[in-house]
Amino acid sequence: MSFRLPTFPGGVHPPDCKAPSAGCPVAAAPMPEKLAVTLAQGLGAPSRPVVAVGDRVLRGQLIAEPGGFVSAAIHAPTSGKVEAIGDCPHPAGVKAHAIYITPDGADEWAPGANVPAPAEAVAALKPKEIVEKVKAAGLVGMGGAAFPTHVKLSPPNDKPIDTVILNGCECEPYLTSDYRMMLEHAPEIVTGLRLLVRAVGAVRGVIAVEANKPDAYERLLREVRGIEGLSCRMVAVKYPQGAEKQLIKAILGREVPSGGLPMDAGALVQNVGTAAAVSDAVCFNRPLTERVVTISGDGIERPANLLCRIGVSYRTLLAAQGVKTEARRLISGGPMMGLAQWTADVPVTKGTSGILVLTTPPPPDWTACINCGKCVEGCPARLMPNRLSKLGEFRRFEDMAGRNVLDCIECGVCTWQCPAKRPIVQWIRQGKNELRLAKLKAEAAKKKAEAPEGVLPK
Amino acid sequence: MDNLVEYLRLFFSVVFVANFVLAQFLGLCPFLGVSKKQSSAVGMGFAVIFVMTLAAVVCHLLLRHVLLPMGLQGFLQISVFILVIASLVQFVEMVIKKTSPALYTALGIYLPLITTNCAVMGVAALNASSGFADPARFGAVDGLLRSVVQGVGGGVGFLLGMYLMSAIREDLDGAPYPKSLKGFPLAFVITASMALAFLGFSGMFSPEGSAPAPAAKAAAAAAEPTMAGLARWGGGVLAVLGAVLGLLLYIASRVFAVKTDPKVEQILAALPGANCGGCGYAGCAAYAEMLVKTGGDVSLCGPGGAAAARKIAEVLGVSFDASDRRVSVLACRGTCDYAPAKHDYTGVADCRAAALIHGGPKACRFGCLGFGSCAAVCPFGAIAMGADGLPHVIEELCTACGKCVTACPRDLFRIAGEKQTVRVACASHDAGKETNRVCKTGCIACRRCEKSCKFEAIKVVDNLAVIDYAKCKNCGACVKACPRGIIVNFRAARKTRRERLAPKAPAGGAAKPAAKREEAAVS
Repeated sequence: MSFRLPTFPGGVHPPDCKAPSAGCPVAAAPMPEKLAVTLAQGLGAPSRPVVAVGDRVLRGQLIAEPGGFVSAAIHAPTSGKVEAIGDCPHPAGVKAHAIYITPDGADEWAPGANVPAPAEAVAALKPKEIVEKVKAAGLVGMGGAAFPTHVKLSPPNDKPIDTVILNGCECEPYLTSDYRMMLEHAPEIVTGLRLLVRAVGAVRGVIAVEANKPDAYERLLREVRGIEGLSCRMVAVKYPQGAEKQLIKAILGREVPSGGLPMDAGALVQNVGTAAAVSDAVCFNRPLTERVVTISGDGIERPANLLCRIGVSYRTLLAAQGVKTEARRLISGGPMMGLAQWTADVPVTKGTSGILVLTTPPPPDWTACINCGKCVEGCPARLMPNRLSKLGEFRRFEDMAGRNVLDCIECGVCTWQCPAKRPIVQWIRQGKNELRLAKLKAEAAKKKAEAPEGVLPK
Repeated sequence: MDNLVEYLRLFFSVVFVANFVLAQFLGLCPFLGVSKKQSSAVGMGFAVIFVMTLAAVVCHLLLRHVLLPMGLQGFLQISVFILVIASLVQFVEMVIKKTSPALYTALGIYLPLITTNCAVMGVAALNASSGFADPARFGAVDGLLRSVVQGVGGGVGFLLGMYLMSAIREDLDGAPYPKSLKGFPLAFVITASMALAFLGFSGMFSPEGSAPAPAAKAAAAAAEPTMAGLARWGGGVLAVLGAVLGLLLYIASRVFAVKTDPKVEQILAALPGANCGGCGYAGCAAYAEMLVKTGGDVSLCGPGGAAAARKIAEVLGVSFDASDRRVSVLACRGTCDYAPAKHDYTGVADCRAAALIHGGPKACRFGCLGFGSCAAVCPFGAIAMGADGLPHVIEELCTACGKCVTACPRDLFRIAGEKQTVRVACASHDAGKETNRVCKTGCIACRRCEKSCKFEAIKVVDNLAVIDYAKCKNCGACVKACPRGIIVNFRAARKTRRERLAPKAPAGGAAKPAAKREEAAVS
């Protein structure tokens, strides 16, 4: 029996700042006058709208279908009228259209939605059917990356998954939405986990909870007790414990190979919130129309965990919770991996786990690398951020590929603890983008070379 | 293997204590010249190891079996060594050219330079002076092995020095050190510090084992050559050796022949060979190859200028009009005053990095971000960032290499003919209302330019004025008609700038356009 809690190599311990919102039970967010349901809800191709301006839609009605394999369906968050379909700022900074819906106040469910499925029917579902239901409900990973769930549930046949890990680590400071989910919706989470285990044909399901949330751990432990194959594990408190590959390393001791996916290590990792949504989708025919969002930060008057409809603007939520006058920065997601926003008019998406308002000023100017090696020590992906940052600084992005930049999980550990305040992750993200563009360019050039007519490069 | 310890001692002493570059200061030319990139430094290092080892073996055998018995070592040693090494390098060059063209281009002039490289010569001379070839002091196998060990060790030491140097220089590449130190001054400072550091190795071995020098001197004195040997054998030995090596090289050149289009060679001769990459290709050879294979713009070489272009055109049999110079043009006039930012940005000061975050801080989604990625990549210093937040192309220095075109995340640079003086300095495809909201000078698609043009040369397409240069006469009617001032006649701007530049030397680094509003038109 080891007294050490399982974890991964590297990582840091930022102050967790969860206290302001941890004790706040999930409350319903106000219904705004207008919802902007962006068509880029998750990673992958944007969805295609299937409603027209002027249509009346009901809650849970399909309003946009997947725009590709890696893409998710979108449903109306409430009943109302489609006001417009057009440009809308997006919290991830991508260009995307949104379906604007004016709620009619009735919040009427579409026929067939929000109807409990009989227990025998659920028990009789085949794995494929579960995946179909998850796909139809428009589920994406609710931890933040918003990767379409049905894609993760459809691994190729040669990559069997033996373990489903539910991620209840919530290692990002400030965020408490998963914590509240675990306390308040433990039965749904466990139901969801059982469905996920069945869907991918795994032999066990593990719920991982960081040791700083003992009450959530106890709650889930009580719930999984006596269910064969399910267990609840406490993991060390460390950032980024909740990163997919790091969690697999902690729980299973397996490494996801460079350039690989969790399925290459026989594992599937889902957020606890996603599991609850799976349960809702399969047992209650409830598509994903709302999610819990933590509103916190030292610039917020009344921190809270709000159950928000998808598409409600940050401005509405912030107005409800009050913003202090000394607020300086608005961040979508956690402070480590989240993205600063330039406007509060961005809407909540399926991947929005938190909205933070901070009073701290932006970091000061960075200096040259002082070769202290802290980033190398802390990197959970075992990369050399010091080298990568220099390559970025000198615009030698093509050399980054040789240093495995594509294995970077962009957790922000290196940047957070850099004494020289170097924007390492930004360089890495730029490097990844430059490599992607170079690859596209090389492919285009190859195509051009195959065509006989030589056209001058621009 | 009785002497294993001796061999190891010899090896490590020549790698560290008597490092050819950093302790004996031999071969500094490639050491400074090829150490800018790690990849080429390592390639060069291995080439030197190869040449040094071969040179050590061949020279040793010649010395022991030809020169010493004939009593020629004192007189002909140097000539014979040079002959052998020169042939070897020729041989290595052929092999590399055949097997690794990329390495061949990267090494450039420095590969032939190994021919006369004192480091390689030094290995042979050091072996000779160590007396390894002296039958009186070392057995046949023992002496040969010592020569080989010293040769390999010398090469490894060279590689070590090259690798360290290139790693340091790569790291310093973008560091903000004073301009006066750029290039060789800094390289010399680094070399000096490294040499000092290598001094620390001198205590690695106890003195009795590491210094063969006195013994060697005695040996050399014992085998004092005589004039008789020289008179009898000297000319014959050189002649035979030269003939044999010549024959071997001839065979090698047949075996390792690389088919090159003679046109490529001719074009290469016309190009300056700086391998600056300004043309957008990986060095002069790549550009020449592209020209021969697919045809294309002969005027891309900036350093070569019109003279090179004319020669290339001659080789390819195409026409080249030197007066049709092309330059890069920025299609934006959205200075800080005109086009405000939509949010603060405190990250990496690079347009491409900034553009990844919410599309960049500028409210206009088509406009120039102003962090100067274009100026940073320009190999000719032809783009200067103005205080107005926009880059200014210094046309006299611009070679239309197109690096700024690919660097700009907003795709704002166009390569245009210098003669096309009327240009649209906006790239916004937003509707007029939206453009007006985010920029006080962007094209609002009012179509007044269209109406003013007598030649139907300007059209508003997708909310942006576009000039058809086949019809445009540079009359400037649209320039006067544009209410937003985004159609610019460069002739006037150019004239004022030339006048301003006139008293200064034409070398253009000093030509930084000031940030006055009327001069914003300069690019």
